[in-house]
Amino acid sequence: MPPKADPTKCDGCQGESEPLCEQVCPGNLMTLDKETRKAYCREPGDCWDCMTCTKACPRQAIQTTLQYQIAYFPGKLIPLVGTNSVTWTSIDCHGRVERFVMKTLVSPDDEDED
Amino acid sequence: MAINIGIFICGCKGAVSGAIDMAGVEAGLTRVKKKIGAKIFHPWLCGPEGVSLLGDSIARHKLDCVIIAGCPETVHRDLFKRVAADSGLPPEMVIRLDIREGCALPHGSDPRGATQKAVNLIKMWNGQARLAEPYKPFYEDGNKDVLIVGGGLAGLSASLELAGAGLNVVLIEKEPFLGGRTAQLNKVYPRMCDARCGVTFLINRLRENTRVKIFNLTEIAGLKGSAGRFEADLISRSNFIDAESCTGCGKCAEACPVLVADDFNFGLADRKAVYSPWSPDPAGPYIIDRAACLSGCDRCVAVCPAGAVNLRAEPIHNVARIGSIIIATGWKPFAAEKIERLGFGRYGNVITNLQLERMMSPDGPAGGKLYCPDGGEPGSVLFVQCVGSRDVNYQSWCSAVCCAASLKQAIDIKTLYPNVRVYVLYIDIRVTGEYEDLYSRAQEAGVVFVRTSPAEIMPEPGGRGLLVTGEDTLMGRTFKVRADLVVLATGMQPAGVPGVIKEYIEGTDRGKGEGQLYSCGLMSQWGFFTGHKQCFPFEAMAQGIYPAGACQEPMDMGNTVRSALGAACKVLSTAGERLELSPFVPVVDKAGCDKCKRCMEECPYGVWYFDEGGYPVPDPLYCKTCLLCVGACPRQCISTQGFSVHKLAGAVTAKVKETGPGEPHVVAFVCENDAYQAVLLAARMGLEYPAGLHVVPVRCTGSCNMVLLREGLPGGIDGFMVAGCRSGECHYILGADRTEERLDNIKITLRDIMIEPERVIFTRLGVRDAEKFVREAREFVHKLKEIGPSPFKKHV
Repeated sequence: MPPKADPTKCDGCQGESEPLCEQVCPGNLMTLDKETRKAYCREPGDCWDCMTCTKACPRQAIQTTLQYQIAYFPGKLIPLVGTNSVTWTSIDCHGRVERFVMKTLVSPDDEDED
Repeated sequence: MAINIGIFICGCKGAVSGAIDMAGVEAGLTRVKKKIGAKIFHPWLCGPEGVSLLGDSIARHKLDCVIIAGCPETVHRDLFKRVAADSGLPPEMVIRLDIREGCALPHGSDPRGATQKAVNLIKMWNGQARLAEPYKPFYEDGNKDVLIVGGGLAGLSASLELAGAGLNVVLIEKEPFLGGRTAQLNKVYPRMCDARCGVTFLINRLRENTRVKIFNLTEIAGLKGSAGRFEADLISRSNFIDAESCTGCGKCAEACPVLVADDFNFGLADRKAVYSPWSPDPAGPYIIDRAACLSGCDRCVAVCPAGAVNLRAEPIHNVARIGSIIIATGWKPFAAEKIERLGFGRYGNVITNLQLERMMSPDGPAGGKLYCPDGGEPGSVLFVQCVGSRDVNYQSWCSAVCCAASLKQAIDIKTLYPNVRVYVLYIDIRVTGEYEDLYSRAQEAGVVFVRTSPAEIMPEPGGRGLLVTGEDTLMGRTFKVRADLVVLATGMQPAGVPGVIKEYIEGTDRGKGEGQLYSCGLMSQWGFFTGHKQCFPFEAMAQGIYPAGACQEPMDMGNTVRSALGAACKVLSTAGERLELSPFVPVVDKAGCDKCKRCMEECPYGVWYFDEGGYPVPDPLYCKTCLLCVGACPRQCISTQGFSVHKLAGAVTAKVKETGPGEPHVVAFVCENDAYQAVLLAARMGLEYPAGLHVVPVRCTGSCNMVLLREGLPGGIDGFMVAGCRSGECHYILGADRTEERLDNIKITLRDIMIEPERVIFTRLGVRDAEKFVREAREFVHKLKEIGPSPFKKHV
């Protein structure tokens, strides 16, 4: 299911001609609505749910609903991007919550010490 | 990066070691080994023995970074920096950690919690210290080009100062003459010297300075760029008579069929459409007011023996590339005809104070003689104060100069015409400071003062005078007085900021909302460009644009010159040679930047521009180092030598332990200017708050990147408190507001991922809000206990 930008959170990257989601989308699908200045996916059918825009949004305004093969509506997968980790929260259609913390960068300092 | 860190823990002669179990701290730190060169406990580190131990240890263990856990940074700052410098360590590699006010004092009744908190804080600071590096000095040459909008007293004074300091000044004036309102005045109080004298002096000095370019009849039509690299589009109207070839014979004026009111004399006299300006430094011997011309008339062209008249001259466009702009647009008089009961415009003998200035000026319409415009010489003159001013129906402010100006005029009339009776009708005589002397002088000269705001001014039945009625509020009775000439002391109104500059400052051209200048209090509700009166009196939001003179607020000539020098000083601060840059100037890591321009948008000061590669760069000279950009960058690629997201992330991700069973672990980012002072004050006042709250001072809450929360919450931190300044008190204008907005956003995300949004709170603390801080901290920790531990805790 294609990404949806929450209009209360999206600020159109402050009226920029090219917001971050538009810049990062590998399929060049995200764009700004000319009137509302909010981001939207212009070809929902072409989106392959890579979630790049969802991770990149500086205001965490974009949400991606899971494909029905993975979870029925309203199943969701929401990232929380840190400096060297991404925390994924998966909420399935029954409201069950699972969380995964993925290290994206491992620094040598992480090993010892409690 | 620091690879050999020394941790020094000071007992502070019992102030720390009394509440914190030093052996417990040592035990807690046993597994902190990596990149640690020394862990040293000392009961009194700032004493002579402690100081020499510190110096020796740095040398012996070859430490490249030192964490001193003890008193807050403001205490013994110089001492520890000197000791470090003596041992060859740069001062910025001495990292201070406050475990006295920050840990021992506020947790006196919870020694176990305090001990664990001290361990936690040391680990957090160790996480930051690992990324510390000595500062590399950077230098930049200042910007020496400045545009001054307005050639009145403020503009001229600022120009002369700046040109004298070696800057290239472009001075524009929309009128055909320099000197502004001052050129129209007669005498200057309190010395009763000639207003024209000082202006002429300034103009002559400027004209002989090759660094100053003066454009008359010129306005600013466009403004692009940013501080340090403005591009101003200047439009110069023509005066339609070539000043070089004009001989000043005056035949054109004789031939001109148009007669209009002379605005230089405030309508006291008439002039032709072709006229010779009666002013210092005119644009030419004769100029044509094309707006007054009859259509198709070209009599002046026909009679000019020199062929100097060119009615088809087009305006000239110039582009000025400048670094800074001073706005000295000044003021305009209140339109007295708005108050009908005072009869201005209806009765010829009711004039304004500015008309009286022109009347009394030797170059005025009557050669400096006092007269009634309806004919004859006045036997009595009556001044009405506060015309329009201090009146909610017209302009609510006090215009600050009218009392002194009327007293000056009254003294002047009494000196020149001792037999003329002079009355002053006033609400309050507001002559402040030394100007009180004017009041005494006027009283001694025989001026009669009546405390009233006149009800009506009417023509005297059957006579030539005017009857003024009102209520004498001191005597408590009505009065009626006859006067030949009534002078209305009209107040000052701001002339306003040129539209393009206002748009630029507000960012309306960049799609931002209007009215931000007003909401931030930098522009008063009445249109004066006040700036922040105490902290940043000469600043607009956009850096590089500074107001000066009466456009700031009503002020007299003395204050105008002072204000101009203040604004000039702001320009000079970015105009020096080889200026050393602050280590807090942000640097963009181009490898990480994807040119999203959020830094540019969030910068409250508009100091960012695009470099040749299209990457955003701040102008380091104009940057105020608030680091809102560091907090805004979605890719965390903006950092500074002294402060970075990664250092704070090092603190947030440090592996810490609960300060007590079931105690929530809270990290509080507090603004170092205001909120942190409240935290310190709370400790000094003996107030206690839960030990689980770990305070991390930051430059401005706006510099807190939300990634820290996104990193910290999954890392097992139970809650985040962010404490910014009180509304409207942020030193960086928007820092606290931007943070509140960001936190509101992250709360929605937290709610979406089924984490309680209450785990993040934003609070506003003034510099002395110690009790509020403690109350909020207790409530927050209590709330977190109710919610329970972070769902991420089991994952760690």
